[in-house]
Amino acid sequence: MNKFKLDKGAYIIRLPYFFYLLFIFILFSTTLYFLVNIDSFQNFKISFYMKTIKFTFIQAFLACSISSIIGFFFSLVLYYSNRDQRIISSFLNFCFILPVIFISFGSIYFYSSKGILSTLLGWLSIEYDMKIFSLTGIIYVTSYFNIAFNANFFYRKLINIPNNYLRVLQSNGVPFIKSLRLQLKNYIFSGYSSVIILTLVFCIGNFTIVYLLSGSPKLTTIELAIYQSIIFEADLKMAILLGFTQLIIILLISFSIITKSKSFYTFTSYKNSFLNLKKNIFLELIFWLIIAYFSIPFLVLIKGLISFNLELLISISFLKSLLNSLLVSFLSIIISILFTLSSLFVYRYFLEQNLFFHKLIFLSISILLFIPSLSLSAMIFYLNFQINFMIDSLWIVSIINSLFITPIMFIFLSGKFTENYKIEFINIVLFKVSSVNRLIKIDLPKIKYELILITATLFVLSLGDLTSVTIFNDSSFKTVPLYISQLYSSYRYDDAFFILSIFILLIFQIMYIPTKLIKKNVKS
Amino acid sequence: MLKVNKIKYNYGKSLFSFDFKLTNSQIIGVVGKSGSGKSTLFNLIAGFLIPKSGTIYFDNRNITTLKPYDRDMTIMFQDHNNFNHLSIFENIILGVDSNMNKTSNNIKIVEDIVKKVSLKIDINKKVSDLSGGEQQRVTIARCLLRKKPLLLLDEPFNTLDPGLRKILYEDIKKISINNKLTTLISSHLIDEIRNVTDNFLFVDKGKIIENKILSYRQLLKNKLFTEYLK
Repeated sequence: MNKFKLDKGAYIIRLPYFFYLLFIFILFSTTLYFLVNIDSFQNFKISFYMKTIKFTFIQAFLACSISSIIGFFFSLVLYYSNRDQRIISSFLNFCFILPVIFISFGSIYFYSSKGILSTLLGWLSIEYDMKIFSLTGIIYVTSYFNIAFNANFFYRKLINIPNNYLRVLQSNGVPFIKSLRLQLKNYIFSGYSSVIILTLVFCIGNFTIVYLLSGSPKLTTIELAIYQSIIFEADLKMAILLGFTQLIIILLISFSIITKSKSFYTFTSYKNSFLNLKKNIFLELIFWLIIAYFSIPFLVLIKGLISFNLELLISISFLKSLLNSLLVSFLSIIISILFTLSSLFVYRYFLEQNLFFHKLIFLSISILLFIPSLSLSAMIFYLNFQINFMIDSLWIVSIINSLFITPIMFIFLSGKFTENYKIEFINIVLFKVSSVNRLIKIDLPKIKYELILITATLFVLSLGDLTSVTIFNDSSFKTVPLYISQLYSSYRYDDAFFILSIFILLIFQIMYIPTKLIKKNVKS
Repeated sequence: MLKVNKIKYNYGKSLFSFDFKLTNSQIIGVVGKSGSGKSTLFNLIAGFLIPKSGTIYFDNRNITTLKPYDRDMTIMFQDHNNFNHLSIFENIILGVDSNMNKTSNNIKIVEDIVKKVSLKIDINKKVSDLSGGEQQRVTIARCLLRKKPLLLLDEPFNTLDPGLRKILYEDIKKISINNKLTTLISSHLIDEIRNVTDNFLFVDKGKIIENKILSYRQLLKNKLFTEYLK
């Protein structure tokens, strides 16, 4: 392929990506400079440091193992249930992106000593002693998301098995379950190493869950320790050290998938399942148990709506937090779209030119997925401290959120964006299409449905986030999840559940918009 | 003898109905437009689909509701016949040993059958490393290994180039005659099948024209067939 001279528009499109690189460089170099120049840690306790790392790993390994085993089992049952694949996959996706605070409070409402389960068992005179504010609770809630994530991965794999594979196996008399162990094993488990590493990373970075459910100082993960160092001990040195420790651990764990670009993303084509199985009562029962398991947290909605409180709903503090949440999400998405489109443009340019750099571009963006939000918060907190807190909390939280969602958006869109790039490039050169025109008139229409879908999903993820905002909040700035958590901490349980329910209903609405938009467009 | 006796099958909104019989050790070309019902017919005979009514007999045995692996047949499709991530050995031995155990006996079986289909290649190689023609030979080897008297080939070589298709059709002809197989080959490339057989079932809109085997000359007298050729 001939070298192609870039027009002025191309440089403008590339600007956000270079700005992003510059920002990351400044952030890391400032933090490194700080770490190198630390002379002493006044409050450093090695035993606490080691215990925190140990607990982080124990809970992460437990939750990761449970999630992958149960996720695989769930995917099999869901596959065998022979129901609408699009609905099941969307349901699992939806469970995965639900706000952590919702699942945590939903689980508290159901499993706590005064919860529904305890009441039900009390009626049956059965003793109940599960403690939700414990390691069990942390693992349960962490697993909820990761079971959905793992189940969806395997489910997509199962429904994408070529029909002829199944026909060949069936005509050779190989039972499906046996074929999973022998003939289909490599097919089903390809890319699984990436999924398990991602699950482990998610389990290590479960700050919100530990923040809400850790009942004792013993149950402290690295992220929670960062939070405590900044908020309660004002020990920035310790926070940075912990942040860097976690960063290095996660980067070491995820090194293999960061270098293998795209390996954890699989496209799904929905089709009529070939396995036309007869209805089996046992499988049906397990199917509905799975649905019940994922639906348990939703019971809190009933409690919340019963506790309707108009005064609270129209209170300035709630409306302000809602406005902040929407603003943060909106800003994060805008920043993220800018970064993503710009980096995709640069990424594709290197692909077109057949240069190795495209891998580096992919790496520079996807690496952010593995940087824990709290570690990033600690680093940005320090950077802001260096410049006398010039940046407003709203902007900081938006930037941190956008740094977290940009790699997800980039990975999700990269396949479609670079589709047929070779043929497209020939036409672009042939017809002298300017870079700006290419982006607006060719690329954006091509990725519009994917962009709508991922924007809505990430908007919801950003709305429900309760990580960086726990550090960067003040009397004038708090988001809805933080507002709910503060209501709960001040023993206003009914109010907390009520606001949570309203918040979730809002999220349902936001999730519904893209479906409606896409349907309308497809019809027209 | 294969007897497809007044079977009916709902395909979307259309009703497919097939009624014909074949004597053993014949090679039959099943021809017709795309969507005419060729693959549905094969899937019904193979047992992947169950008819709404009617019966299918093979060698006087009612196989209508039998599971695919309980029928005396073996089938080959246009694609995805082999598990690309498995080796040649595993893909072939799967036909007789679903555990794919690498015993000396199994290795010998595979090495022998591989020679029969003219594959001169290391059986430990992954199927994904083979060319399209070699991959189809692996499938043929597995079909042969199963030693079933009925061989169904559903557009088996359509993705391959013409030269290779000719060679493979000739191989199929030899294998069918030598092993006394009843072979049904579906394709829309009628000229190529004419090199293998002069017995045809012409499928149109879910029906077999005249409900019997016709020669090419006989088919030419049929208006629907001449339209199809255009």
